[in-house]
Amino acid sequence: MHNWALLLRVMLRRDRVSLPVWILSVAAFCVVFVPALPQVAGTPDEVAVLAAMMDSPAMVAMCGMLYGDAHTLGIMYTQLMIVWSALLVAVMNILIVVRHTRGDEDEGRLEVVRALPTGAAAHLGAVTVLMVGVDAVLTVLMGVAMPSFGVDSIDWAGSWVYAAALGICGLFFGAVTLVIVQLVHSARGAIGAGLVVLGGLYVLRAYGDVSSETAAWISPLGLIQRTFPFYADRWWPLGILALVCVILIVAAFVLNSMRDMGQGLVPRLGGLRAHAGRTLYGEWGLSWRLVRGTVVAWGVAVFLLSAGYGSVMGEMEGFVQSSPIYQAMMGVGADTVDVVGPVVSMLLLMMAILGAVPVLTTAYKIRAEEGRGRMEGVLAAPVSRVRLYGGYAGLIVLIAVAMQVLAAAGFWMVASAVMTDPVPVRVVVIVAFNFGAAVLFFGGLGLFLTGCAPRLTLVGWAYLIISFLIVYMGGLLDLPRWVARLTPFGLVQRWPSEPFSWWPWIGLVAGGVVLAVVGALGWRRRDVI
Amino acid sequence: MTDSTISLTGIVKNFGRVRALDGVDLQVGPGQIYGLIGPNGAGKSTMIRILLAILRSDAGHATIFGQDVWKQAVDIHRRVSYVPGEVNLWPNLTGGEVIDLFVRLKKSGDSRYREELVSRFDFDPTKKCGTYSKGNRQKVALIAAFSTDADVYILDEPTSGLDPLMEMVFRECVREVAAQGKTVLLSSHILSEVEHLCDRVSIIRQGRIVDSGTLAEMRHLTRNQVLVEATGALDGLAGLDGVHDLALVPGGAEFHLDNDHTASVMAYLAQAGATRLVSTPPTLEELFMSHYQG
Repeated sequence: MHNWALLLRVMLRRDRVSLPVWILSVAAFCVVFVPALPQVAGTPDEVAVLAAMMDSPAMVAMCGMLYGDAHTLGIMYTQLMIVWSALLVAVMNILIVVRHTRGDEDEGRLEVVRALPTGAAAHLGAVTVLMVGVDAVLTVLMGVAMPSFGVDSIDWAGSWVYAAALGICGLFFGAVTLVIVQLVHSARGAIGAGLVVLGGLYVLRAYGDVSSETAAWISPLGLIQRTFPFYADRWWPLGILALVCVILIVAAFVLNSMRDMGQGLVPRLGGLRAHAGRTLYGEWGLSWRLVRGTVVAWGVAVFLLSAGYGSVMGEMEGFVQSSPIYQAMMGVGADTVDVVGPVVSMLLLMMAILGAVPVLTTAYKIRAEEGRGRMEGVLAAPVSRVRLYGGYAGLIVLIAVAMQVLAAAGFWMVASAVMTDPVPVRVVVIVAFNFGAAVLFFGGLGLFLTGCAPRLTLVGWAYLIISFLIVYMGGLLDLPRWVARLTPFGLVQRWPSEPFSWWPWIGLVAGGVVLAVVGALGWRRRDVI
Repeated sequence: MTDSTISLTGIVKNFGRVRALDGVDLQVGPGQIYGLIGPNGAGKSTMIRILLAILRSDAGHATIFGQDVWKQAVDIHRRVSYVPGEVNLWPNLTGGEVIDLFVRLKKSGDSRYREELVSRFDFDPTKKCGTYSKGNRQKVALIAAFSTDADVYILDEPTSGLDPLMEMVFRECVREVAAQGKTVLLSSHILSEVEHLCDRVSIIRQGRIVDSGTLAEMRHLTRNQVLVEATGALDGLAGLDGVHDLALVPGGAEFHLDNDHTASVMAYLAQAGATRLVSTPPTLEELFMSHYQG
């Protein structure tokens, strides 16, 4: 551990911008809706309606469970926000840990550090301290910010439990990542594996919250809700999770001492291929090969998660029949489409946002290849820039369609099996088709940024995250409809709650095409970075 | 200059406020092995990237085979092979896959010759690129470049990371394509490599070509190192034109001599009873240094 403090200082200096941005934006996301809550749930009637909606199996699967004997604002806030906040905190931890471990290793920076008088475990130690520090700062920020809005029932004691739950949950995923980076061979692989673990534990929690208390306890995302902030304020579940973190960190140190730098403990698959296969042909074959892994993994994740959402539709049916308030909200005596249609729409909207992620990474692939210095060799071959770009554009369309098809298929297959009065396949298809326009738009936006503003690719991600926030929170916070229309996912009509309209759909697709064409013009003219 | 295979006239390239190339002129004739030397940061790679349409010049005109390097890039690249100095490969593809990919992108290549090159470079194509050392990544680019059929080879510090044995293989490859009448542009800061391979050389410094020509021409403009032993005194040398860095040693002298003063100095030495005379032309290294320090 020699000189670990010095290494930590180097890390802090390198991330002097990105760390504060990460921490502040994550903290902001986690607390920003606190002051908005009293406005939507000010009167007991409003609370009852909101609680009825949130107690539906679909919402429980998506967000988390509702607990306690009274529907206080604190409890409702926890149900609504704690799981998604935890997901965000987890992603932050995964990315920060990979960046400073496997990322540095891949770039060969760690080798330089090791050659200096630093201990073998010093680097890992510094990363661990960094990770704990980030989560601690985040916890304090949230713990102080939440009660200071003065919202009824969001008190200091509950806020500290809530904030600590998020902090320790983040630490858990950081610790998991510390172990993962010992096993895999690249930063990309480590991020992928970390996200797989995160996604798996999210699905486990969703299943657990709807139908199995044990499953919910096994997932940290379920466990943290069971501290019951603003109700029982239990600390001991966090103690268990902290203990797990310690074990994982110790395991990471042990595994780290067992491996060579630049290697992973899980044997490398593949290799031994002295010749390229048939599909690795031309610039398009290469493009597909480069995005294949990510796209297939996301496809599987989208399908499974969508199937998971579909599985709550059976419970949803029963719930609707037994909840008069919910029936009143949806319109009494309505048929299946009217009652579960909006739920299908809400769940598939989440899936569409998820499906936009591989679309955006594919749109940014040219930029990523440039950054890694690999575009130069390809363009020095007789490869037309426009053809290369066009190949990615084609892939984007295929990926967008595939993601929507997988989401619709996964959802409908399971939903139709568990429902007594199944939702017609037509409804699922139209909903997926409707949101497909927004997914395609993000493809066009990504291509435009790649071609014309390659240094501003973060803008695309920011817009996607903001779209998610507005869409996710908008419905519950009664944001005016026009606010949601500022995002592609809100611009299309929320069919079947709203009548279907072609105009926003065509507008989005046309906008995406125009952006992609302008991007092509930019890409054709600019330097390779 | 339509008869030049590679031609750059007045090429300017700015990166923000930094002027990387400041009016570069360069003509490479067909069949020439052309050396481009200069230290790191002089603009060699920028120049080559402009030739390959990876960067776009801010002013000037560049052609290969008389075609505009930017507008007709794809046509040109069918007949050009390129080896970058920093070879970045996809960590999850094997070396063999990458070689095949590049050959296929080129749509011309000889698979038997590929195998021959793989064995000549003593390269293992079955490993993932992520595990290759710098030298091995360089071999991937070299094998891919030489196993495709090209008329022009653009090599940007192609031997960085190669061991001396492999460097010899590389030189053989260059001589083979030269024997077939192909044109080679070789950028390097390893002067002995350029000296061994190239017919003509340009020296680039701070974004400008400061000297061009055959090695013989360039030497002509500079000084020879002279070592003389004589029976008589050589004190008079100090007063002669064209004599520099004079060092008198017992029974002789060492100095640098401007070529155009050779006759007068020789006359003086003959008078002084010279018994032994050694004259060495400057190495490329000395030429190079004279441009950077002089």
